[in-house]
Amino acid sequence: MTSFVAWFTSSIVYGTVIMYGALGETLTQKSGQLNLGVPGMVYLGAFAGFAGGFMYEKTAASTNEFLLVLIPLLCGFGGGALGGLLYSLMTVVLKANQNVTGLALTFLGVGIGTFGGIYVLADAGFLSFATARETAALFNMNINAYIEAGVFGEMFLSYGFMVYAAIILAIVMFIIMRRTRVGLNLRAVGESPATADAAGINVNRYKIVASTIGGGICGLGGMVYVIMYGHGGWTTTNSIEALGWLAVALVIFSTWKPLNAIWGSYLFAFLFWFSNYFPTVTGIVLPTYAPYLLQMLPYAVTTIMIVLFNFRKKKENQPPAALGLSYFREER
Amino acid sequence: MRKFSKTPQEAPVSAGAAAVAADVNVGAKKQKRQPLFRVIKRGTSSICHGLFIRLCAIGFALLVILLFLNGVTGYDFNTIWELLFKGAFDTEFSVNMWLNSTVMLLIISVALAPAFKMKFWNIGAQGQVLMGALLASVVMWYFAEDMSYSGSVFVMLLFGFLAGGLWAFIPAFCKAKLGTNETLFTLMMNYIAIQLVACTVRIWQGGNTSIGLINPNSEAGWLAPLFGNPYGAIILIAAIVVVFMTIYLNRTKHGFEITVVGDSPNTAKYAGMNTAKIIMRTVFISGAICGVVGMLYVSGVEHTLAETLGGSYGFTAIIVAWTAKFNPVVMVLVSMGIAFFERGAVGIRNTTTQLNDYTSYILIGILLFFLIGCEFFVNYKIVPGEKVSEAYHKFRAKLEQKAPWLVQGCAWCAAALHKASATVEKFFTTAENKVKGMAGKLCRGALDKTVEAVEQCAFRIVLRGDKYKTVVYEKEEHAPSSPTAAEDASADAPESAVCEGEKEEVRND
Amino acid sequence: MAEAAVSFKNITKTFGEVVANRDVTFDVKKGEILALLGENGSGKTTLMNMLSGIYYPDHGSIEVNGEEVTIRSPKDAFALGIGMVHQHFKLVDVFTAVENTVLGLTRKQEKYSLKAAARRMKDICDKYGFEIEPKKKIYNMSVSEKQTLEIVKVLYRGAEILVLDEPTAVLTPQETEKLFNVMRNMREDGKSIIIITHKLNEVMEISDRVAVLRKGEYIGTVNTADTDEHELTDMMVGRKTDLNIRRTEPTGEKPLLEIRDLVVKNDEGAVAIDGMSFYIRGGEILGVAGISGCGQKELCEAIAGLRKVYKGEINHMGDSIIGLSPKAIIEKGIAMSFIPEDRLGMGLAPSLSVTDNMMLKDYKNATLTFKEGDAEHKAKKLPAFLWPFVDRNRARKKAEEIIEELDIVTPSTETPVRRLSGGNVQKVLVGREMQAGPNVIITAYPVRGLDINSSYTIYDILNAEKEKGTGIMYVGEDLDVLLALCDKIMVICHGKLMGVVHADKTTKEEIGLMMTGALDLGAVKTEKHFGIASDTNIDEEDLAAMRQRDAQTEEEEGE
Repeated sequence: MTSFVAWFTSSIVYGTVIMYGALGETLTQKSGQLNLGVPGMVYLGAFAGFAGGFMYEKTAASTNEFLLVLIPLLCGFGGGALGGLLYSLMTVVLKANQNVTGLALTFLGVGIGTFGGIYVLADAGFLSFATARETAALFNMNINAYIEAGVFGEMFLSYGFMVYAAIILAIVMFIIMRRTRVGLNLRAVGESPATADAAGINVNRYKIVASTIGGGICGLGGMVYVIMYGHGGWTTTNSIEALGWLAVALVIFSTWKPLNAIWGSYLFAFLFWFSNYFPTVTGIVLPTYAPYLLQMLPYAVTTIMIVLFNFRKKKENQPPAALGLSYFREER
Repeated sequence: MRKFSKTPQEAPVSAGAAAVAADVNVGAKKQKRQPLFRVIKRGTSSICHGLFIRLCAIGFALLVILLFLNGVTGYDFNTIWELLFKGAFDTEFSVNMWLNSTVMLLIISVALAPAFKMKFWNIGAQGQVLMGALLASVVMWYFAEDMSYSGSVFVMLLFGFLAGGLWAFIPAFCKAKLGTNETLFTLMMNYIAIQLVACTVRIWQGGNTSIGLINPNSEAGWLAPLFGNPYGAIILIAAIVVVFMTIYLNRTKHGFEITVVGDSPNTAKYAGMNTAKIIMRTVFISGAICGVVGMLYVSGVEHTLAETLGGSYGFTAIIVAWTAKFNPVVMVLVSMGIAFFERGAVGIRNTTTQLNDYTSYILIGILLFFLIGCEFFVNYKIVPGEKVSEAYHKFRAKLEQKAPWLVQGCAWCAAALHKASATVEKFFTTAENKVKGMAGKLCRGALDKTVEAVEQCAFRIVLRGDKYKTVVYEKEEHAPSSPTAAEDASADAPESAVCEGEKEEVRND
Repeated sequence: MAEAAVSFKNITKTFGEVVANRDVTFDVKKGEILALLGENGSGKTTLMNMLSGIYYPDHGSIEVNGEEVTIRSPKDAFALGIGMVHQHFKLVDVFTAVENTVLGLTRKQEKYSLKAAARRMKDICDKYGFEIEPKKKIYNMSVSEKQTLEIVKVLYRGAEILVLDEPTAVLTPQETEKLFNVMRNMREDGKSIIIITHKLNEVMEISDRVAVLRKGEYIGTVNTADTDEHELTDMMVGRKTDLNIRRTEPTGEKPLLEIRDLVVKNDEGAVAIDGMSFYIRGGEILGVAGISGCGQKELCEAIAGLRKVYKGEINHMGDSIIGLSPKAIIEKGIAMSFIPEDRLGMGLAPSLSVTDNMMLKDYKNATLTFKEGDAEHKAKKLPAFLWPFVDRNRARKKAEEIIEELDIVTPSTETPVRRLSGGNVQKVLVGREMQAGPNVIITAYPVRGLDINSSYTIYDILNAEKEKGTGIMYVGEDLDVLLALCDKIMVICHGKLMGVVHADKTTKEEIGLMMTGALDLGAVKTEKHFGIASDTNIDEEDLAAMRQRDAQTEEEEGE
């Protein structure tokens, strides 16, 4: 039983990371921008958040708990937002091709992220392992540690606040998009920029703001990965980049609806950890290649969904109609 | 048929309307905010202008790169350059690595060119490469030892080709028949491919930690060095692919169809082209060549299978292909440049602990961003808006009162500059036209002669039987009248002579 | 009485060389329905676009409620209480009606509340007599519902002056009646409505006054009660001007293209061509007149194989070409050319050179030239797979030929066609289609946007083809040109054939009446004789002479 609980809890944490990435990219895509630079922005946020926390920890004489939480948050968000801003300026102002710019951003982001991380580590003297211990501890602070509510507590209350924040963020995004004027305008920009323009909405402004904030949210995901999931330890692996692409898949899987992203991210994470925990839970041994087949599932399912979109033709499940298309108001 | 009538419900309506109508007076007085600058699309742009902008972009990119490296390592610019060059070209080994990188990147870019020309965004190059690698390595693992060298290479090539092609065909089919978004589809296929490869690797691994090299002792299925260079065969294949694609895109019927479909799908339909078939066929070829690259990796470079095969070249190539705008010469140059930075970064990395493997990502990322961004300046020009030009004129008038000589001097300088640039522009345009003309004639001439020679051979072979009738004209008869009849004849179906005769009669009615 | 809601004073607007509006001055009174009448190209849409902020006049001014205003964007127009309902709806498909209505409104204007907005919408609907379901999604709506929504949108923003652009074009008669009632209600409420239309019967029914534009100039305004359809048509089309277009005598040939009971649907699924039957004969130019949007585009596309035919027959020299794709038509050797109205979007590939566009239709044919001494052999068409290369030399020669023949101004044969001016683009298109040596040519608005010289060149080309015995179907919008160039003119109104008349025996007025649906010769014509049109003003003698001529031709053919 305990291993099932362990499976559950690690899925939730891992899923949170994916969720942030997906929520950020959903916001971006709702404005009609297809930003393939998600891994880059996640990486930037991971690095910036980690560096912020780590440096503060190291350089401050005595650390203020509040700042220990705030600085990584701001840095993580800022790092991703910078990436999103760069992307949107290129695609909206300089009218560059969205696919190509997004991929270039992935390059740059991954490069800066990994490079910067190692740079910071080298600076710290630890060439392979550096931790922002106190920061991580704060982020991993949870209710259950105090209450000790047994299994239930472990399953639902033992997470750092970022996990709950993610769910709240998803709900907030849902409310904004469905129930407010800003959300309506945003959706219009993504569906039919010409109509939005005719209605007096500043299409470019919406796109830039949405991409920037979306990038910031993706960055938060990266930060959560390093600090919460990795307990403040920075290791250079490929897994952050893979997370980025999983997030993109999740955006499609959740049909661009933030609420779907909640359970979708947990599902993806659950599948990710399947091969780790399944043997211990059920006693059935899986072949060594099983993890990869399972990790293929999210992508395969998403692909099938892409095809099915065209059959079911339910318009609400389609991508935003103007996704990936640049909007130019014609010279009259 | 409801007539208008005053009802008690009228109150909320008028209240609401009043709120909106209150805006009327406000709006009428408010002038629309004038934009500061206007962006106008350039009608035409000479090649020189485009080249100039791109060189500027590369220059800026280099500056930023040097500044970055300087900041991180503390080396001065010269040292950096030296190290970069050393990293790329110092030893034979590094030169070979540079060549290899260039060539792999080049082939994938060339593979993407036809798909992009058709506005089909094939983001799945990475996956197609991996699938080609997968099937090729399967052949290598299970069958290569029982086959001859050329046999194994041929089979591996074939399987690589088919695997990559099929992998690309699936999204193409869905796009052509169902209208799915190909960007997302091909993107997802990448990760499915990665997992499939990872899975296969683990299966083969068995209990070990890695596969190691496949067939290390027999070297079965390994591409032998050609012309003394371990990557010689790959370079040869690259050259063939580049030439083939250039001819394919520019000279063949398929290439023509691709161009038309990419330019204007409506025109393609009007001309009777089967757009769906063209899309599927082209994307298949695109993926197939990527699959061949995968096979080359397995057989010629790594001699093993890994899901990290090809690194990120699948994605880099997308940007290369797009930046080069389907021009093979540019693709070669850009590939060389990127490979240079990659190898150079390794060189620098080895001399200092300040850098690491991922430096190349940053360098390449910077370069790519500048290249992408400069497109804007090639296609558009910035024209000051009314407010700005008004302000400018006011300022100028004021200045004229205070210091007329300054204004005159500036005007004179501006005029001189204008004239100078006009002359330079003229020189370049005439030079460009001349070169284009000459190059065009040369290329056209050479290609034409080759094609003509092949034509004559083919003609003789085909005409050996009497299957296709010949119509003989004496040279003098090539007067205006015959082309019409000839054109008409060429438009007819190859049916019996009787049918044709009838049609002729009707024409002369 | 009522003061002017809108005053146009000396409005002039030019696009390049074309003068869209020249010195237009008139008023729209408060609380009236004014019909703005004019043919295609008369400048009415341009004028209204200036009122709604899409264009800005070059000269002149606009006054609203007595005050001079500057309208530089749709937002300005909204602020002034002007709302325009365009022909192409600006709606987001996946939104509901309410969401589309409140889109773009700022907090200053009203608080965001879909419920309150829905209530307000309902109030507006009740007030004027619309029916709208606020929660319905756009993609579930019919065309008339969408149009109703557009009007409600405009009213919601407090428009006092409404402009409706061809509102009844997409409506059934019942829906039109409902719309008119709504308009009457709005008028009672003090709103001023400008309705752009061609349909004289509707003008007579709904409007208070009629303002007429012709070829960019303002002709006059009359009270609807004091006028009738004939006078309006007169004002609309004016006197016939002599264009000096040479018209050669038709050579009285057999029909090359026969259309019977054709039914074609348009993109939205509505019936565009409703049971038409006509002929195109060799050596004759059949003009097609009709208000744009009456189905001409669909008719041309159906004949060319670009649009599915719902019912009916199309026979080219006896062979049915229904269901054949353009490729099949080309391959079958059916020598039919289609010059579409969309030159750069359909007829030509804009980024390709003149040479490449030349071989757009026959690039698959490889006629290899084989030299043997002084003689040149030419093989017949080879199957495509035998020869992968395109023959640019042949295409280039063709390009050079037509550049010379038609006096096309282009830097070279390799220039992308989108760099050429409109007239030259059209010449390239026409030249290519003629080169194929067709015996039937379908051409839609070939001289639209061209200067005088290019237009006359096109007319000459068409006449030359006619003399060769080609049958030409000419869809045009300038009645003067149709009357001068064509031998017979076919008039379409709402997808129905109103009549086929001889150009030299009819008047502009008669055609105008047919175009607006006021005159239906289909009912007058009793006998469908081969090749004879029925004008109302053709007399028995001429009729007999024509019958005799046709009988002679029949004998000669021996069929």
